[in-house]
Amino acid sequence: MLREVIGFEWRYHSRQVAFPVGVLAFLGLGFILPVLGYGPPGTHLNSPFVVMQSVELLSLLTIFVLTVFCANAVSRDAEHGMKEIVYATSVGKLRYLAARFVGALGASVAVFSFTLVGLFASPLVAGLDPEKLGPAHPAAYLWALLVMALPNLLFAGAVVFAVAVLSRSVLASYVGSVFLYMLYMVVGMMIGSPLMAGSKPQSPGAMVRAAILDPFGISAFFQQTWYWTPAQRNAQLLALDGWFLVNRLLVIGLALAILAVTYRVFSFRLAAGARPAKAEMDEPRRGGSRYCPVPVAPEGAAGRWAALRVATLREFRATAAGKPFLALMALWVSVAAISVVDGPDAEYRTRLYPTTGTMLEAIETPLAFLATLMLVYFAAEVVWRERIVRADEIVDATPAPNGIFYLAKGGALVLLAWLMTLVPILVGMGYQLSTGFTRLQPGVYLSLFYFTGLPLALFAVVVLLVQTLSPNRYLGILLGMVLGLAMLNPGELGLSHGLLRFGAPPRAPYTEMNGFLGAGVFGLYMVYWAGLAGVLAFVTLGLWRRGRAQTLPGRVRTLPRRWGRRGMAGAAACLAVFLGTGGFVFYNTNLLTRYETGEQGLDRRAAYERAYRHYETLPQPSVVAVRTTVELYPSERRFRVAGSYRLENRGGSPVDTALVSLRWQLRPEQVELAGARLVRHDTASGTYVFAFPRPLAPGAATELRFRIASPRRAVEAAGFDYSVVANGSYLTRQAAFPRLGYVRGYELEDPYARRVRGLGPPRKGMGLVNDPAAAGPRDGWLTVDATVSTAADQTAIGPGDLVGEWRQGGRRYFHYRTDGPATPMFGFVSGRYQVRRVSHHGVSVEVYHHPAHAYNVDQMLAVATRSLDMFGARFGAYPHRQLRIVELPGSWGFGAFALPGVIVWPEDRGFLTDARGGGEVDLITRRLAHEISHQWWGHQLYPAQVEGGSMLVETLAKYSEMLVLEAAHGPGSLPPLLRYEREIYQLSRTNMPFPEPPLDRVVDLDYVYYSKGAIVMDALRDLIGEDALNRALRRLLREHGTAGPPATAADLLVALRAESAPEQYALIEEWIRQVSFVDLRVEAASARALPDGRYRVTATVRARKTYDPAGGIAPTEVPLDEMIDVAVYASHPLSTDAAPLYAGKHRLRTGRNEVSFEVRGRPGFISVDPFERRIEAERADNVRELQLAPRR
Amino acid sequence: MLTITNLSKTYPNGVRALKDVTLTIERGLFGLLGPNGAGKSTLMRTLATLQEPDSGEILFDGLDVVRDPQAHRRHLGYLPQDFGVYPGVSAYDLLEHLAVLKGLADRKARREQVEALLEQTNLWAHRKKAVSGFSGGMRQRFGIAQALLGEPKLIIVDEPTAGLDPEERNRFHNLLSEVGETVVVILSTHIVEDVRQLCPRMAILTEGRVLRHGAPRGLIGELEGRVWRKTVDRPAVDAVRRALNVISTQLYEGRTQVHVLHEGRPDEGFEAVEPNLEDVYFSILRTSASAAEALHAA
Repeated sequence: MLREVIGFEWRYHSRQVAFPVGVLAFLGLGFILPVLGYGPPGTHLNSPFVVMQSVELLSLLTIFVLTVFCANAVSRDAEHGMKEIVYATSVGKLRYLAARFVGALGASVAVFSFTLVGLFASPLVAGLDPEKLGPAHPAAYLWALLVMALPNLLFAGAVVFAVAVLSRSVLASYVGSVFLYMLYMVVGMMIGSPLMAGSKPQSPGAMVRAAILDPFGISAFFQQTWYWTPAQRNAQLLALDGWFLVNRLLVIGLALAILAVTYRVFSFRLAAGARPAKAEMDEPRRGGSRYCPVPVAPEGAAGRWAALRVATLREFRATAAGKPFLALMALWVSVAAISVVDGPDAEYRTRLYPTTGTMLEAIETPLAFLATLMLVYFAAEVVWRERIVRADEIVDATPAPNGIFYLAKGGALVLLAWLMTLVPILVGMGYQLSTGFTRLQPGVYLSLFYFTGLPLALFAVVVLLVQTLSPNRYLGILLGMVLGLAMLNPGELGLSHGLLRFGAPPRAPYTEMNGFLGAGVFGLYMVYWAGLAGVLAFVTLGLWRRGRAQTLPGRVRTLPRRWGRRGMAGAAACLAVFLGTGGFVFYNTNLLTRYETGEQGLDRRAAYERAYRHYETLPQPSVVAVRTTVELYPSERRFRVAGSYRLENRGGSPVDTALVSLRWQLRPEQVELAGARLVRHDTASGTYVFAFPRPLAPGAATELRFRIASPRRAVEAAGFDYSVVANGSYLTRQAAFPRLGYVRGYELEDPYARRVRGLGPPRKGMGLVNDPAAAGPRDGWLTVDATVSTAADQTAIGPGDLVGEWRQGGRRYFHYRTDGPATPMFGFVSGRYQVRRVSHHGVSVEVYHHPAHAYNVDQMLAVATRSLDMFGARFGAYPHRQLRIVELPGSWGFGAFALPGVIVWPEDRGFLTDARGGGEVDLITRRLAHEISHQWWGHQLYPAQVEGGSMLVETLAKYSEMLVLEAAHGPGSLPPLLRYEREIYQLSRTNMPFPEPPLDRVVDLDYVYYSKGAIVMDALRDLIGEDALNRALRRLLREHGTAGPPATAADLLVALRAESAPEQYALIEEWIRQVSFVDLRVEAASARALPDGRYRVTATVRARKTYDPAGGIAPTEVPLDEMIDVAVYASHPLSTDAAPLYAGKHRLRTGRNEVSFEVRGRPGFISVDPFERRIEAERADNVRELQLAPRR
Repeated sequence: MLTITNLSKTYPNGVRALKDVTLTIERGLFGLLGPNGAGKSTLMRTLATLQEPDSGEILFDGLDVVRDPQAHRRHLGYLPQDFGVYPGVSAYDLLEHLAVLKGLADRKARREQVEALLEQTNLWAHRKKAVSGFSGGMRQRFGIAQALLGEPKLIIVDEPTAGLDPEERNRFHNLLSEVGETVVVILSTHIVEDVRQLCPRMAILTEGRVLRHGAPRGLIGELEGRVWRKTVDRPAVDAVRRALNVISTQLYEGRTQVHVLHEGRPDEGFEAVEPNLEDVYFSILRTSASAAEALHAA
């Protein structure tokens, strides 16, 4: 019998429209993920790891499918009037519930399993890059289904089913599912799930906690595979053991418990709400009266207004006061609160001040997401409301026109969305006030109604249309979901032009300095899309269900008659707005300027490389002096630069051609090279080729004259250019000035993108021979003489001394001149700044900041002067007469950037950092000291552009930064910092697509030159002593600084060799020239009390060392024999900041080592390499609790 | 005056709900009598603009209902056969809500009518209760109240008395006949009694076709002297059926009363009966059924 009942359920579900739609959707999702390249870099798109990750991601989406089936399974009796019949049959409660649940779950599993088909088929047939594919592992798909998807579906199904059964309401079921989804996000955030935290390193304890609690097993998956290398990911199956097994068992247990409770609570009684009212009441009746008709007012605005008002209010009240919406709002408040509290979370576990901009950024994404889902669900509710409660015949027979119903329902939806917009604003303000932050900026908050509220209103129009077209609301919900997700992620669909992204025009982030950039452009796009929405609204109106539902073709046939002349005119007017605005935008984006899609951009760069790469090895003249006038027009967001370069042939052979490159968007008015003839002007890439009729002899000079206007200030099609903005312009050399020679930075980096364009493998990260002679020319040192003009209320900052300042024609002029040749990096900044200056030993230290951002300026000045002192004493004198620290708008994506004598620093990367509570990481010291040290490492030591060059700049800056941090916070502050760097290094190298270079060959892998570099420098200092290390660095700077030949990594090794003993140098060379790992493990450790009150500690330490450049594929073991720190602590070293009871160096060799020493004080734990001076993957076993032996 | 001309409707599933229906309906109560599935509701919904006919014309006071449903709805009162309401909305609020939708823009007049209708339908005491919680009779009374909102000139009530107890039905009839003095009221029902009590004019609809229409009195008159009754044991019914034109059978004290249509007394056991509307109804249905059978046989 149960089998028949389940069989019936199966037939029922599989014939629902939702079934084939779900199958198609999941098949498509499975198919598209590999096509989109889902998965970590360097891992095969069809590897077991990626299959597992895809399956778990998609299994989250099954919540919505489950909801459709569960809600349907439970509510269909009631909705179709079968309730009394079914409930009265002899079918038992268990059988009834079991059949419904198994049917719904089975249908969902069936739908989901098609995603595996898609995932499996896609790599075989979609023509993907074969390099990104490995052998097919059919077992991996089944394994993922079995251990990941099935328990997840069971759990989600149990929850959704319980909600559906106990509420018997479709809407409650849907809201329940959104609830579940959001709850998962919330729990994920609270337990620090890796899915939420991104790739931030997590403490092992937090990862285990997340692994146990995460009901969808994603955290457990990440916990097990956290340090897997690409090779392991490509071959290894997830093991059903450890915390993953615990998690799966817990999830299944929880699901069964939920089902058991559902069974207990459910009963066949009819819902209590339907109890009939008592028949008669005793309230005195008013005198009986005769029926008097009341004339219906003539058709007119007044009656329609009244009808619209009451209808809208009725819709709004019915939804907003309903339990589902209230539950959703309760959830939304908590999600908003979490987002708002998390919003100021910034890099390195620091926090920002809760500015309104920060709040806004935290709110926007969850709001757009949740409100979109809300619209999908509630559109189904409002559109079908009359039909669901069967009031349609009465309402449809009233003379209220369709427009009233349409506007009322649409209006109610928009009101709901706006109500949802209001909630986080209040939450955000509350949070700001609770932290003592009183600059609330309600106007900035209200922008949410513009930037998020308008797209939501547009989407409401879409879902109304979808529900009007859809034969039932379930299909409408599914379609609405698909469209909603598409609207939220147009980039994923490859839509980059604003004219193609419905309701999602290009946006620039709000910044306190620069406000809302591009608000007008946003409005223009909104008018454009509103035109389309208007057309859709008229279509919806023309197809509106009235009376007995006609078939869709029938409604389409009657549409012209329904529209009449006025409808036709209205639709035509909207279409005209759509096309007119669209045409205007298109004219601006594609005709006035050149629009480039992502692919076209790649093609352009490939063409540039093909056409000009050979210039890389041809001798080119160098820029030695720049003389320029820079005109900045902040309010118009445009600029002009003009001037000349003095060019010299610094090479040993004559120069007969010169390559000049401009950013392709720029509008050159003049580019002339004296003594040369323009051979080619390639406007597509902005490249000029000049030929010297009489080659430029070595040592000879010439002049390049240029006059260049900014890109045409038009309507943005995709991204924004932040170079010149209303407040806080930053115009770099690359953005506005001609560059000499071949620009290697234009080369494509993605191997696949290169190969399909017929280019060889990328040079990124490797391939540059470590030989300066073969490295080709580099931009030389130069002087700058610049006159910058800007708006009258702004200050402009340039390189070098300010030699003149005046006002003319309502503008301010600043004349800057460098005091000697400097590295060829310069830029110009302009903004309404407040300036703080201190004069420090002849250097003017200046902080230019937004007036409202004075929070950390004192600390910045202190750090700057201390850094200048420290670096001056250790490495040599600071070369400039001023050090300018300049705030930029937060729209710039970098942390900070050091130009000669100038440090530019975006507002949210330091100026808005909330340093009041102290905190783990002193970001301001760390970042500022680092950037200041670049005045030595980078701007004095300007290495050759070869492998290892970035070590000389960034690793040495990291070392300098640690010196300042240690001086400020004490030596105990370094190990936690190094631990963090080690975790970053280990985590990042798991994503490495090619063999990892050692430090002396690194080009642009930040986790090598920063994170590994920090550990190596600290170990180096420990090995040879700080004085010896600094001596070596001073020598490097002396020999290869400003005047000398460009330095390479080999030069650093030479300097270090001079300061170290041969045994030490062997280690140094290994650290810098190898990718080496140690593995240390305390196997046994005990302590025995001695008669004098001290303890003797004895431990067995196992040690080994490997070289592992390829990321776990073929590590080679090498002998280990070196002095390594051993320390003893009273309590676990990770749980305390207390100093160790003992710390000493012990010689360890490959294999088992016995260490033994005496300690004062009662020892608790022993730790090998406690100060993080070696790189090691598994560190948990470095610490061991000491067995206390009784005194003998 | 409502004129229905050659109205036809076939559903997508092939059911021909209306076949060439032609009727003229004057002011007053008009009864539309027919068995379940005869096409009554289709006709009602078509008159209520909720459905479009495939062909044919409906004119009300000279206005084309099919072409301009919006104008027609302005003086239309419609009580569907089966309806639901928004959950949790009180009778007063819901009635006022519908009144606004009906175009009663003047708040004072609207409220007065809403209150008066609540009284007339005996719902005044329950005006603050949710209609969704009403019993069947109360809900039906609410239905008639909403149908009377405004100034309807055509009132369509579809199977209104199903599920009402006798007292409620009586009250309902009184209200309808009061309203019917000035406007067109079409009452669709399968209960002969309703028509007999209320309607000066009527039509009989079956299988989408109007079989007869006219005044009940006239239709009854046509049967004068032709209806005979006999009480027989149940086993004997079949024999009578075979021999005579039986228009209805009814159990009476365990035996069966047979009504037959016959010119002159069929035999001794039959007694003459004063024909009533039920005899008319059943005799017409019977004729139509045998005609259909004959058609099939041919």
